[in-house]
Amino acid sequence: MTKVYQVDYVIETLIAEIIKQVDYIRFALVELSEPILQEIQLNDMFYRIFQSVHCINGISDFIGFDVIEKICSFLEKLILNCRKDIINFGKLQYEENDVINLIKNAIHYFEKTCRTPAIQNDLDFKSEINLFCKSIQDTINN
Amino acid sequence: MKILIVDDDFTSRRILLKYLSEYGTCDVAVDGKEAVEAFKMALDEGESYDLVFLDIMMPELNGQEALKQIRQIEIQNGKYDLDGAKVIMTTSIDDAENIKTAFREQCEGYIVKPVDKAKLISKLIKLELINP
Repeated sequence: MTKVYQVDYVIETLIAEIIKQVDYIRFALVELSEPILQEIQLNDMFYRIFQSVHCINGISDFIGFDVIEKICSFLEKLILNCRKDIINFGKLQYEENDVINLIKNAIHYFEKTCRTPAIQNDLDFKSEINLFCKSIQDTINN
Repeated sequence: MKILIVDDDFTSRRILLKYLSEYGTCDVAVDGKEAVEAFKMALDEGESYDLVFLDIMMPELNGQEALKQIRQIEIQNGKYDLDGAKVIMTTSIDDAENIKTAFREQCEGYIVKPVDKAKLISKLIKLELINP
């Protein structure tokens, strides 16, 4: 019984950490929406978002939240490209709003999964996630 | 692939060496301090590690602190995001605080000992370090 309790506690704590990292991303998104951002600030903002997404990715893998892990892997690549754009061209080659919307949608799915982990077994939800990941990949390719 | 195995326990190092030697060149370090020095040296020589296995409870410098220093060294050398080494914590500590801290410090994986070979290989595939 004690061990079961401990495992539950570990998972609950790690889910709480995902939620905390989502809050960091949300905060960074607010700053990202500021009209005039210097190149260095923009880069720093994406770096912070990447670190949170990477942290969520690792935790999700550890606790078996495959849906979140999958989204994170696509999102990491997109953010990485954003950072490369800023470093190489001084600005984003993607539409900034597209990127912000994809990150917003991703955190919506993170929260939904954390609230109801069993939703990961829902076939409709899985299809929705596959479509969403495809939309991230399409953005990366464009 | 260049791999660094960091563990103060001889048996743990030996097991990882056995599992990993077919996938690349493996170096070993016996504590966090030696690991950071080895990591820095490899980077300076232009032959940085692709993969690092870090135990947490070690003398001199623990694995969490070593991970932090490794990431700082990478940033100082212009290696950001996914460009750096993949770091997998291999430890017998499975409390939430340690797991959380390791992922906050940007490790890529956390495997609780005893290390299961199948689990380890599937992690390497997931990290795109080896082919399925």
